[in-house]
Amino acid sequence: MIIISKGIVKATAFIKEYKSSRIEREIISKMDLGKEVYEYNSVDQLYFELKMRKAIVHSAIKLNKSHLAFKTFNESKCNETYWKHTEEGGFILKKRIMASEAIRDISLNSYKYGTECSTAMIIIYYQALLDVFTEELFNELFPKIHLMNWHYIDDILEEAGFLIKRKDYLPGDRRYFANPDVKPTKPEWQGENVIDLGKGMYFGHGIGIGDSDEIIYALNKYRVEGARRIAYLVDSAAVLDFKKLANIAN
Amino acid sequence: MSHFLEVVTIIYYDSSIKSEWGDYMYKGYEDYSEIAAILSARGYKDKKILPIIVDLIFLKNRRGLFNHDLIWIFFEAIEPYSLMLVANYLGSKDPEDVKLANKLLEFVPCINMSRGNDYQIPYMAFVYWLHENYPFLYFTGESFQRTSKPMPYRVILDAKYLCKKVSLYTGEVLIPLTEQDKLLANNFNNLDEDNKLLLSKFSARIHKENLFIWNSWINRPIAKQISIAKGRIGGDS
Repeated sequence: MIIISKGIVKATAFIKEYKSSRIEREIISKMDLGKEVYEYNSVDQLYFELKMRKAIVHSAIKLNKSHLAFKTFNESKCNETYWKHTEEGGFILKKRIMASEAIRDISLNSYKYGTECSTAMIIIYYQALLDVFTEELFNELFPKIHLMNWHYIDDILEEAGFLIKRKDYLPGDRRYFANPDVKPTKPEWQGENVIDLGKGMYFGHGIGIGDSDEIIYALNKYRVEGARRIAYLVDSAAVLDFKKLANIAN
Repeated sequence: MSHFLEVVTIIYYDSSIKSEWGDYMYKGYEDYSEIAAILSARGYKDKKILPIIVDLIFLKNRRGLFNHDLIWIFFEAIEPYSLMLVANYLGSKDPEDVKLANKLLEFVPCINMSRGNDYQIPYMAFVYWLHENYPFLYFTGESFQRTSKPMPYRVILDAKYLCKKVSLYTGEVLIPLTEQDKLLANNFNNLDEDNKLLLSKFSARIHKENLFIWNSWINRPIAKQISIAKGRIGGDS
C-alpha cells in the first residue's frame, strides 16, 4: 500500500507516468500490492525513491558489463591515481581528489580495479548517487570515501550494511545468498551480495546477472565435498534510507 | 593434535618467527598460518586452534590488516563458549582491542560500549548472558560479508521459555514438544518482543531455582505469567 501525506494512493495514479520504464512500473506495482505500507510525506519523496532504485539497478547492470575484477581483499587493486590501497584491501579516496572523479574512474578504468562482492555493492550505491545527485552535492556529501564493504561506510549510507527481514522485496534492494557448506579455504564464497534487478534477476559481482537458481548454482560449486546444504537466498534485504536521501537532495 | 594445529602453533609460538612476524608481517607465514588455522578449525573441527585464531584476529586488527576471514572462521567453529576468548579482550589496554571486542560481541544485548572504563561490568554481564542462554543458542551463520551487524548466535526465545534445549545447528528443540508445550509456545509466540524477553528470562531463571514453582507458573494464563514475572524481575530483560 502506498500512502502519501496520510492518504492512500493507488498505483494507477503513477503507472501511466512510467509507461516506458519497466523498473519503476514493477516497483510501483509491488508497493501497491505488497504487504508493507509505503508511507511518504510527499509525492516527490516517492519519485525520488523510484529514481534512486532505478539508478541502483542501472549501476549494477553497468558494473556487470565493466572490467572490474573479482578479487579477495588480499588481492584487491585500484587506480592509485585516485585511491590509496590499504593493508586491509580497501580503497581510500586520496586527498585533493574529487569523490565524483574517483567514483567515475571505477567505470572508466574498471580494468584497474578488483574487489569482492560486498565492496562492489558500495561502489554501485555511490555510482547511483552520482547519477541522481548533482556533482557539487555529491562532492560536498562525500569529502572522504573508504571503500571496504560496510566496515567504513558513510553514515548517509549506513542502512546499506544492515540486512533486515522485510515483507516485500523490491528492485534496488541489496539481498544476500548464503552458502553454508562453502569450502573452508574459499571464505570469499561464503555467500554472495546481490542487487535485486527486478523480474527475479540479481546481480552479484564475481557471478554476474542471473536468477536465483543461477546464483545458487554458481555458489554451490564452491562447497566442500559431500556438502549437504545448498546455497539459498536469505529472507532479508538492506535498503537505503531513501527519505533521508530525498531530504538531502532537496 | 591435527597437523595444521601443529603448524600454526609452531609459527605462532616460535619466538624467532613470531618476532619476524610481528616486526615485518612476512606475508608467506601469515597467509600459510591463516590457511592452516582455517582448515584446522573448520575443515577438521579442531577447536584447540580457537585461542590462536582469536589472538590472530586481534593482532591483525591492531596492525590494520584484513581479519574478516579469520573472524568468519572463528564463528564458523560454532563454539559459543569460545566467545569468552573475545570477551577477555574487553579488558585490554589497547583501545583498538576493546573496540573490536565490543563489535564482535555487539549481538549480545548486555554489551554496551558506554559502560565507561570498568570493563568488568560488560565482561561479567556477558558471562551471565552466556551462562543463561547457552542451552538455547542457535548459530545463524551471519558474518561481516553479509551485514554490518552480524548476529552469529540467536537465542531461541520460545525454547528458552519452555526451558527446552535446542540444537546449535538448527535451532530446533532436541526433545520433541508435547501438545501442552506446543500450546504454551503458541501463546508465547503471539506476544510482543518485550514480553517474550521478559517471560523467557523469568522462565529460565525459576526453572533453575525450583521446578515445582516453575511448573505451577508456566501453566497459569499467560497474562498472569506476565504479571508475576514483572513483579519479580520487572521490565529489565
